[in-house]
Amino acid sequence: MISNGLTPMTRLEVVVDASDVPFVEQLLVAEGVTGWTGVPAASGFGHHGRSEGRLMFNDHTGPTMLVAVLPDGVLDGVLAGMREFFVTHAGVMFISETYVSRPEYFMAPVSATSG
Amino acid sequence: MMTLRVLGWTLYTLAACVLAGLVAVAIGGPVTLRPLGFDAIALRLDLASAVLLVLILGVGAVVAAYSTRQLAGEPRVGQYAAGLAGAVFGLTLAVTALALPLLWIGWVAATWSLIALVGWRHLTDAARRPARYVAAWLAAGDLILLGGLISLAVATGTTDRGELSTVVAEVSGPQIAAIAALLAAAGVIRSALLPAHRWLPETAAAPTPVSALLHAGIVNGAGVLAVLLWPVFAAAPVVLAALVLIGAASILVATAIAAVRPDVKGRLAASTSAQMGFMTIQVGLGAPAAALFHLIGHGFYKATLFLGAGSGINALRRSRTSPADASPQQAGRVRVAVSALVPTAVVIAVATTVTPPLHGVGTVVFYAAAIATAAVLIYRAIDPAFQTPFGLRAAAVVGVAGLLTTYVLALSAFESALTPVIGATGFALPAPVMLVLVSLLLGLGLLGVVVDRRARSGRAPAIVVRAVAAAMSPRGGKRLAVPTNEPTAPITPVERARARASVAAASEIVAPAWPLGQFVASNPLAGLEHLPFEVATQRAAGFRGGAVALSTTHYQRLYAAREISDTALVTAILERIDTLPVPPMLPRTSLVDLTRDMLVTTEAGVPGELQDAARAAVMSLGSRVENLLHDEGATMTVAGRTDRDRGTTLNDQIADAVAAWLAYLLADDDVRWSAPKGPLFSRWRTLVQTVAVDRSMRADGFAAAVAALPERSDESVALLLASMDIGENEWSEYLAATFARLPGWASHVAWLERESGSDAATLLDLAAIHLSVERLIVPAGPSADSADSSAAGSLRANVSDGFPATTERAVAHLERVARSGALDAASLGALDDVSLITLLRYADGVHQAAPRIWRGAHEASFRDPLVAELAGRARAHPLETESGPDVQAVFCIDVRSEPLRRQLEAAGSVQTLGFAGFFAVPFVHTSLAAACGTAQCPVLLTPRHGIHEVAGPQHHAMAHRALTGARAWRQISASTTAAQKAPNAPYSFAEAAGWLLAPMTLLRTASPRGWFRLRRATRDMVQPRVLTRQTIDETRDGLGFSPDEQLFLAEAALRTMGLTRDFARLVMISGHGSHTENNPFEAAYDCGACGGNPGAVNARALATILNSGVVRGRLAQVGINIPDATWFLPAEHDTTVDTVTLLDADQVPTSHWRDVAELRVMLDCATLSLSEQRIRTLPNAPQAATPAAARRHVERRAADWAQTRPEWGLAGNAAFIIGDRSITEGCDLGGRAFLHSYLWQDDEGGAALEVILTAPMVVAEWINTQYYFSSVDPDHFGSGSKVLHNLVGRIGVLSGPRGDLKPGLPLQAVAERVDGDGVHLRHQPLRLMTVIQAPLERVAAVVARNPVLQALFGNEWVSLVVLDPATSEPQRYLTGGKWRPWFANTAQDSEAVSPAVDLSHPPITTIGATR
Repeated sequence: MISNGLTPMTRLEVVVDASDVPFVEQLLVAEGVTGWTGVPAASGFGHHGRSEGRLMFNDHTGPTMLVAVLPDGVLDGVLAGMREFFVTHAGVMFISETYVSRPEYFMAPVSATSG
Repeated sequence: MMTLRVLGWTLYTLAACVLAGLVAVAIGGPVTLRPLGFDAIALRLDLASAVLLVLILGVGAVVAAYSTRQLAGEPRVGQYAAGLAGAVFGLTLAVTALALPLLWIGWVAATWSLIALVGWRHLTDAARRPARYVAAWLAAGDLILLGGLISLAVATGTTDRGELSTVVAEVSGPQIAAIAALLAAAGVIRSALLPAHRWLPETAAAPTPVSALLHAGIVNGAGVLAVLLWPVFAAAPVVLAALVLIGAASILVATAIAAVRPDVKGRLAASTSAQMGFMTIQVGLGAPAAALFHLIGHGFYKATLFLGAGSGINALRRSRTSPADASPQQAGRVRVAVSALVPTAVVIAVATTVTPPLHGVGTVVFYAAAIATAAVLIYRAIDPAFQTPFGLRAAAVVGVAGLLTTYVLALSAFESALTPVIGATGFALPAPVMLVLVSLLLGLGLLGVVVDRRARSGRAPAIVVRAVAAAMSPRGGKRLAVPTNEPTAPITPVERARARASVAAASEIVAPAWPLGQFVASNPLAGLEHLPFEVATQRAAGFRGGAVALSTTHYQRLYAAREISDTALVTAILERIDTLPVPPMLPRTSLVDLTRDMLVTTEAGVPGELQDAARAAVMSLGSRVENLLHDEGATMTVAGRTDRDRGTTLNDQIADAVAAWLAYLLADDDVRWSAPKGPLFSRWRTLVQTVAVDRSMRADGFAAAVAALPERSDESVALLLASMDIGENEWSEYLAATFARLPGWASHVAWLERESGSDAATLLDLAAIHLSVERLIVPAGPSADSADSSAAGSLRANVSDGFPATTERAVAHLERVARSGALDAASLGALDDVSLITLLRYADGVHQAAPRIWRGAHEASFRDPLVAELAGRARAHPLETESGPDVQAVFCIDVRSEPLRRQLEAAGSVQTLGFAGFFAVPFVHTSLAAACGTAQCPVLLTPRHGIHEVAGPQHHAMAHRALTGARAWRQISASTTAAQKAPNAPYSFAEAAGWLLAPMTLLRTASPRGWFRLRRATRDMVQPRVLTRQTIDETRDGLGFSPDEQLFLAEAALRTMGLTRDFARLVMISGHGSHTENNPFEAAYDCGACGGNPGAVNARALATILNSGVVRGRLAQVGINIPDATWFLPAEHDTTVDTVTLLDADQVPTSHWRDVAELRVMLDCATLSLSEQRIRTLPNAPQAATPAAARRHVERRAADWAQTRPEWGLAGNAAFIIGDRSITEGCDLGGRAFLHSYLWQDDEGGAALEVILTAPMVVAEWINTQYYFSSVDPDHFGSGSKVLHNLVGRIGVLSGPRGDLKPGLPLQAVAERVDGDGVHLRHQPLRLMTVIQAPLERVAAVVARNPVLQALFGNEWVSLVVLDPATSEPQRYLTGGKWRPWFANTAQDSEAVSPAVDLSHPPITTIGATR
């Protein structure tokens, strides 16, 4: 806990294709992450050229960004899963320090049990 | 096929004669025929045998007629017809023979004919296993019967069946009991009763009509024997009592099996065993005439169900328009009382006042069964949940009571007439025994109801579950010991996350496959689209096996038929020539010519001296040959390696067991006793504690070892892989190999995961299950005799053919070179080692590259002329837009619209356009008062809006009537379904229903159109058609679209199809749908852009939006001015019969009535011409028919429940053309092109083009690849022949009784016939070519900003051609965003091409932003 009442935690940002979002979501759930924010149709420029964001009649293609705050003890599992995933799939991942005011909000109530 | 047709008509005729004979013998007594005066071959027609003959010949005739159409195009139909004739005439002989030897001969003829039919479609040894299993049981039964008949003849001193009633009395009690026991044992086996019940489900390996034929006297053999030889049975009360007990036990076990079987044929087979149990009880209780009544009724009933076994999906799809039920209500006392008391009162009244009791105390059993059936029918019919009016419910009660009365009277009359003929004389069992047995049966009946009730709520007693598990176990399988060193090491979060990611990586080997109810065409290799097509297909073939291109022989046939041009072949060789090893200089021939000659020369004989020279040359190289032609092997699982080393079949056993578990766990919609709930792996862990589906998994310790695994599937996968010593860097490859063992089920699980996330089932769960079984039953440790199975050693098996096989391959290569004429024996012998090795390398290179070269040539043969034609037209019509047509007609881009558009344009002043069939209006549509809705958009989209169909103004009363009618249908349907499934109700139901169904089945088979019209008339009477509207405008409860959304959709639709000006007075918007019968793949014929649903509702929605004055006003503000005089009219194109139905015609303003009338005339002309053209492409259609006759024929096909090719669907699709109609108008594209209208002048930023390429074209690519792979390997990537399909749940089909789900299209969707030359394809497997009429820069920009397009075009899944209006040369997209002229590399003169020619590609231009 630091002086202004904030608690340091880890922030994960992942940009993957919309079709790969279920994998990331399942990994986060399985490792005990309690929530995340999805930003569909992210636009930008990268190895595959420019992306303009959402397509009019195709929800399953295009970059999507997921942002999550990771509680203690789940980072290794999430990192291992994402690293392995990026061996065969396109995308980027950023890990950074962040601060939250309600640390308990990001803690899993019980350890994840589902596969 | 003619043989079958003749057989069918012969049997129809004979059945009619027998019906006449039935009347004659009923009046005049039995007739005996003694050919040439010999008693040994005497035949007798009495009332009993005549009744049996009606069944045998009636079902036989229906089966023959049905087979004529269903088996069209199948190989060896003559053998099938012989088998069918053998079975029917064998049975005819058996039931009419007077002499016992002749009876046996007929009986055995039927047996072996059946066995031949079960194995008829299977040529491999493994595939014939079910036939062998059936043969073993039935042959044993036949031998026992032979023993019984010989004993009978010896004991009685006669072989004349007619004398039995008098001579049996002279035989001692024990002796006759022994003889009766033998006869009974033969009957028990024949009727698939306990313990011989396992052979019947194996007959699912036979074509569907054979399963129906079984009920024409084969599977009901116990009853047939009892009727024919009743005096023997009647003299042996002990045997009769035993039959009652066996029948009761069979009912219990078979009913339980039917409650848990997920496949329709397995369920029907189990149900037949139970029905045969009931029939046997009738025999045992001394009522052979009642048994005869049952076997006839049930025979017709079950034959109908089997023939209609494919209709489950049709019913599912139609149920979406059924009205919603109210919440289930507790059974009221009145409802229970009415259900129980009314049938009881009816039976008592009829039995006591009109007819005498049938068989003393035994009658109670039959009456109890009848009362149970009527009670279930009434109980469901008066269920308040259906919300039918009181009058209808009362009528249902009266109707059931009337039917029950008729049934009891009919049974009584039948028995009165037949009992004397059969020779029954009253009680066969002593009264006390009878009392005990009847009490036992009634007790068991009540117990069955209680157990069923508990099991349906998941509380089946353990003993019942274990009994079912034991009974479900298929034959075979070695019992193995589970190793004691179960994996137990703790798994870290990193390991389990790695396992999860490895599964994700491995999942690329399978792609989601939609269930049949919403069949959506998809690329079976969609997960590999990030790889070049050649690499992806090789990778898929390495794991899954199967062909990924046509065979060389097939391509040679196309070349010989000039469907592949020589120019195209040479061009394709030129494309690949620089990748081939360069051979030594050979005399008088060029490299290209040599390569071509090697490819086109068929495998004809090679002169002996050349063969010897080739062999000698190869042998001179010694072991160097093996290194030269070494292949990298495929990844093998541990079980696969064990199989290879020890000669076991563990891999297949594991796959079969996992498939059986998955079928049970995932098809629970159709499983009466449902499986436990929860995530798939967790459900399986629970299930495996009690239900073993394979003998090997009943090993001691298996369940305990599974229970010891981690509950999390990711941890289990990590643990199991580690315990099998699979290195972490090989996990994903190993898992891919695991998924490749059951690609069908894996694809279904991938779909479940896509739709429901981790809630239902994931590939991780599947991996955990498969690995658990593999780890626990495969013997641990490396096999002693394996060199490369040293635990964590490479998983990649060395599949080098070994020296002898490699030698043969090398010899074949040299022979291929020699056959092309490039070498003679002398020059071959003169080659030194270096030249020989180079030559072999070259020949092997040609062999490896052959599929790619041939495919390229095949594609070029189609594409080059088309591109040239389109380019020429684009130049000739410099982007003119037609103006002033009377009608504009917008169709779906579906390839089936192309011929119709052509015909319609020829019929009058019509301009046609093409657009994705959901017409840019995605929504969930709920039909009038339906319980649920359907997503009317491509599966790429998640609809966010709902639209309901509601009654139009002034039609609420009619809608109410229609709703009542729909509820009445539902009430009847639910009642009959309940009677079929309830434990005590199906016996009398089947018996009665069969007699009613028989004439309907006959009509349905003989006159499909007549049946269809009768059914439609009945439906229209009960459920009249109603004029309806759609809730397009936003409503308070969240339905419909807001004004802004309507404007957005209208503008998007009009701009994307390029219809922004020059509107005609009438604009028809036509969706499309299909209408076929008994067809699990019905959805495959519907609109892909509408998620596999008919698209009429989307056409209605867009027309309503565009007719809105508000929308038009706002469209004018964005520059689209729709004149007031323009009216948008929705329509539906029925692709099966080529009719176009105009919709919402009641809303057409009077000012447009004349326009509509003229349009109708043009449509009629177009569809008549189309029918005439269509029948020329359909197999077994009259080739020279008038338009009216052609129309009748296509209608007949659509209504025919036996038809496997009602239409060709999208077969032939090969191009996707985006541009103005002027470049294709008048051009006969043969229904092979998706046509999307597009005006580049109105699409500055390329937004419309981006929409077309990222949605409709992606859907078209899915369709194209599905057709491609289903064609190149119909059994592997397709679902194989329809005639073997066995529906499992609502998911998909199996081919035969077990195994993997069969994804993809059926053989009949892509092939015209199969014969000795192989498969004759209707669909030519060509990858999609997309042609765009637009500036190159614009297309390049759209591709550059969409990775999905870069993958499809760059990896050659789709070929992209641009017709740039600014240039005259069509441009082709190359990997990396480069372009080159389309015809730059075409060989104009093959003779001029030689290795000396510069083979480098022409100048390449790079345009726009690239990677």
